[in-house]
Amino acid sequence: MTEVRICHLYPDHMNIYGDRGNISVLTKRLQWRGYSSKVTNIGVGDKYVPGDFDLCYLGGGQDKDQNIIALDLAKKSSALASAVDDGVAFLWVCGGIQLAGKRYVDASGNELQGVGILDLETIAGTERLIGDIAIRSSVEDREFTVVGYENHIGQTYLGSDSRPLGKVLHGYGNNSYDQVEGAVQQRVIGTYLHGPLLPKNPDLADLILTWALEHRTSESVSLEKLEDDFAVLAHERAVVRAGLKR
Amino acid sequence: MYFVARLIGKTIAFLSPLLRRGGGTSAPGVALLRLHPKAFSKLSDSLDRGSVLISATNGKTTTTRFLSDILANAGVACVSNTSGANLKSGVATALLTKEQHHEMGVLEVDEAALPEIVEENRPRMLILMNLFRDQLDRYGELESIAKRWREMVLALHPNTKLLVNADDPVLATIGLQRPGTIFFGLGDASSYSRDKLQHASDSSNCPQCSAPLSYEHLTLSHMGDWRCESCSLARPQLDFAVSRIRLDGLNGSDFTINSESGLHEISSKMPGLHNVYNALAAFSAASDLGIDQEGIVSSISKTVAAFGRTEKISINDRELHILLAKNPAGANANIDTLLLQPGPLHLCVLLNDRIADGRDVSWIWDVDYERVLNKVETLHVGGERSYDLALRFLYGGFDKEKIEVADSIPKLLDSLISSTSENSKLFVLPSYTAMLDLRDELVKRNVTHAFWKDGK
Ligand SMILES: [Zn+2]
Repeated sequence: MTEVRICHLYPDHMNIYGDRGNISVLTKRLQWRGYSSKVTNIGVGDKYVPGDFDLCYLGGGQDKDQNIIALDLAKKSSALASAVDDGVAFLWVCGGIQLAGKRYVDASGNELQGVGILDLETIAGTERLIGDIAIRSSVEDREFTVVGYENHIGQTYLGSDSRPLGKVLHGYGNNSYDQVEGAVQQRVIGTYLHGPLLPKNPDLADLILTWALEHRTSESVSLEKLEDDFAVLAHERAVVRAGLKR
Repeated sequence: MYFVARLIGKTIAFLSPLLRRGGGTSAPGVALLRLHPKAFSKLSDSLDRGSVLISATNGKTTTTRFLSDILANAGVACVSNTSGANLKSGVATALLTKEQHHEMGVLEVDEAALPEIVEENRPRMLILMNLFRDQLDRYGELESIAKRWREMVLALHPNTKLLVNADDPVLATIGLQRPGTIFFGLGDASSYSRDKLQHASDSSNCPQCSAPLSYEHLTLSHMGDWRCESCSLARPQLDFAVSRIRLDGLNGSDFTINSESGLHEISSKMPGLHNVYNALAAFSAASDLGIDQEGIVSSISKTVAAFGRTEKISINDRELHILLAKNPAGANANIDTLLLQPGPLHLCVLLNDRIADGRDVSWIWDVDYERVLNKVETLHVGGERSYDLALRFLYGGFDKEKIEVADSIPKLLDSLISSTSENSKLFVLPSYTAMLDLRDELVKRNVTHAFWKDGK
């Protein structure tokens, strides 16, 4: 049985938006299709060995925790970059997208170095971008909508090497101006969307699992469809909700 | 001008119970504060014996109820916002509608609204109970509320008595900033201790040096008998300590409070460890206010839960238990209580995403529903975010075929009744406004009373 190796980065510090829900979705959708998975928690001070994983997840945390994490991530950045080059699937959410970028400048002007696996930078704004959001996404040959909740003060600007995850249909997105959300570069996805992200977005979950399985097997993978009626209904309602002005 | 503003406010207060839901619990205060911004301080000053303010993420309504019952039984007439309207407008409404003979206020206050209200109310006593992760979209991170509370405590009037739950490391550290703080906590909860931190726990790091805390025993979320091995900060000495706890499922609990004056054995109708904390806070406050301790003990034994908190309602020969669950810590406390319940469970979870619930419902993924799922015989989910709940239970490992999603409260109740037999116990865990919706329907079906007729 093919076993997908998932790295959950800093689950003790970066977990405030129901992040473990994303991990449940990844492992359950593998299990339902007859694959197995192993989740390894990697925390502060632990070593990240690039060849050990097929998928790497990082969630959102409180500001003070994000500062602790940034210092530790700096020590792992070359290992992470080599995993990216090797085609490992990355999903970094909320605080994760900021830390995946080149730098984060907070409200008092302090600069935090990011890992640099996404070509973007984030500068703290003056208003929180907060609320339900829906985006139209196109990654490789797939098109789908992604729904979620955003809550960030950081204004994120993409460089030329990364593409947005999607165009904003309703909500804010990366910043107050560009009308785009998230970032994709190689097989790294960064996004502000939580809720958590994956339960209501099975298309995105399956894209990431396809990447992880392809990394694991070195073959092209096509996942069988699952019966997703709860997810489809929750997703449809979320699109409507994001479109409501309230 | 103040007189006119107060008169208009009172008129609205008189009219609004007639306007159905809301029961006029906030509108008069909104009008008053708009007409006269200083009215809040003036109203506060009109209470001869001042106010006790109670704030927490969880338990403020119940603690307020315990304490106002104790004072009332001791002959101290109190005004209280028993309906749970705890923003500035709600507190102002309570003060506005106080009666002539009321000498003291016992008021629950929203965590975010607390610093401003403390400044204007200048309470005689302030009780800080706990801070848990809650409604990140509204309150922001726990850390930001804690920071505002820290500043508030440093600026407290010297005459204000401060009572703090020593089991909450962040709050205890805030309380230690000020001389004379009274600390309460669970002295010995070893029989109900957890072996590891719950997933949703915050503040498991030392508030002083950020090293991980170690615990002699863990009660709810990050609360317990904590210490930091690295800088030696530890839970302060308890002025009021609970021991010999015995929880009896939904029926209540027995425990002993140890204070300077001796041991006090308490038997309460309120279930769960979280209510032991609430009763302890009320006991400590009332003792410090000089109320006779035997009277306190007997009053606590009589207090029953406020609407929707832990409410039992009979419907079609079934027992419907409503256990409000509006954040991970509260929901986990309810799950602890359900685990003490014998036999298979009929569980129903309701989730809305209005402002009072929090627009961001990610928190349901931080609740440890998995712990109880193997006891669940029927599962209903409902509310505006019913499909988010369906996904939560599906990915939590519950059998998909057994997840009943209801699109309306009436249909949900019908389905709950038709899928269970007579004398069944049905357990509903609703978010705040989902609880109000459910109660509306129950009032319509004539099985309970409207919430603003609750209590006094
Ligand atoms: Zn320390």
